[in-house]
Amino acid sequence: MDSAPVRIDRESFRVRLGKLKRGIAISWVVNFTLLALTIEAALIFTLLSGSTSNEKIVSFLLSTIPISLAIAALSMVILSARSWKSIVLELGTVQTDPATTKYIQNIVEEMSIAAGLRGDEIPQVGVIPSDEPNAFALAGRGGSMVAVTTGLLQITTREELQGVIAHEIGHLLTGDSKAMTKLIAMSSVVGIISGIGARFFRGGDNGNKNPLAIALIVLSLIFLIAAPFLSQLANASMQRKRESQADAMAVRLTRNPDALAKALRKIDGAYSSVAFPKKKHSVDHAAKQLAFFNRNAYRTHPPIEERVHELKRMGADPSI
Amino acid sequence: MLGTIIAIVVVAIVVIWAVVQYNGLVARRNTVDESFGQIETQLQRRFDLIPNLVATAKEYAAHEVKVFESVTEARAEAGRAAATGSTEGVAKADKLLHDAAMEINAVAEAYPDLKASANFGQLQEELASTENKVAFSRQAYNDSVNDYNTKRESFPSNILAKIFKFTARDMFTVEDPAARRAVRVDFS
Repeated sequence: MDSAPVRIDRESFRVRLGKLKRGIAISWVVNFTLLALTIEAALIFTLLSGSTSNEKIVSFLLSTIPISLAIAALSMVILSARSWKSIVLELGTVQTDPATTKYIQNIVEEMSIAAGLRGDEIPQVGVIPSDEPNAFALAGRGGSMVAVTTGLLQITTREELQGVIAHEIGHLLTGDSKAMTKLIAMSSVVGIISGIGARFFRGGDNGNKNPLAIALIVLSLIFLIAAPFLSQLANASMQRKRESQADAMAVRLTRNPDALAKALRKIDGAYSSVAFPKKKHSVDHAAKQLAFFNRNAYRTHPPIEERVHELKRMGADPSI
Repeated sequence: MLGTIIAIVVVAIVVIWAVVQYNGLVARRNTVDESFGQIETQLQRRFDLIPNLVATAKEYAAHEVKVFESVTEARAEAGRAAATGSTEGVAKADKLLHDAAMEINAVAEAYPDLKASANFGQLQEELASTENKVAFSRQAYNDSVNDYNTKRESFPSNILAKIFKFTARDMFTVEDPAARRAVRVDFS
């Protein structure tokens, strides 16, 4: 009972949340389009012969475009149902003493109640043995999980941990498009390899070369090479929006912007005062993009200052 | 012929629109009901927790008989109020149980041994969490009521709400502003 009840301008964070949601919807559309185009480019690069006539090019495009769209749509469905088990294994969660487990579980349950999650929707809890203060949210068909590091448990108060967990649950509620980037990268690599292979085995295309067909093949190769970078670029900007959205969501769930702002400051302080081992033992090596706080990714995570400022706009104490 | 086709298309669009709006209203009303159920669940948790708290506190503060009696009495009354299932009844039970829990906490302040015992520490975390859960289920309920009432009142879904008698729901209000703030147990 240390601080006065926090007044929150609910209108402002609702509006803010709406804007962010649209931004993230755009990222899904961009990724879907990129994926469909990558598959189409892979098909062109692999199957289209340099001597194809104009009419055949049109009919080739007309028959392959629906196939590309269908494959892209199917991949998205499968992707959204991917399991998080493997990521959790990579992070390596540990058992903690019953009191600590109960403490984290309680907070996760509180935030699930605030978010209106029920039954299977309530995420499981994981603790990662690392001194780096951080938290992660993982989701898949098998359920979802919120994982926190032992380092985070050590430095946060109950309220602050609540804010961090609310942020992670905010991520779970909005979904994630990062896996799309991996898929686009994979498709482009497969497209390039299969195209080069097909061209090698087919030998030189004999007959009259059609400049339009050649141009299409070259363009598709260029696109295949550029696609992963385009997707990363699109996601980097959306990633920042996702972080801000999760922060706004955390305020909506906890109605306590102070605690989240304080937690951000503490985590930032812990990272700048202690040199955590890089790579291998580092938590963000395992799940860089998933992290609540990412010291190496200022392009994908808004800087702490910006996040705290945003929280102040949502009603946090200006002196934090 | 063309006229009939246009008429059929218009009717079909209106029917589809009505179905979507109706389902939207039903979904929101169900969320309101589910959220209310969540409040009751959390109140039940607190209701069940209080005897444990009393039992543990008694070990260290045996002569605070009056406090334990009043807490037990308040708990019984809360049980009766909650059994009515009405918003007011549940709100009353909420307040009674909250005050009861606060009373035991006040006792703990006066008995350092009690406060320091591991068992009571765990119960206090449970209590703090349950208080939070009650508060957050209330918040989620009010959010869902707000969402439902807005949908019910805004054009054009208000037309369907009138036809199918979707009645307004009440927000869950807490009279005592102090009760809005959950118990905070300081572990530092």
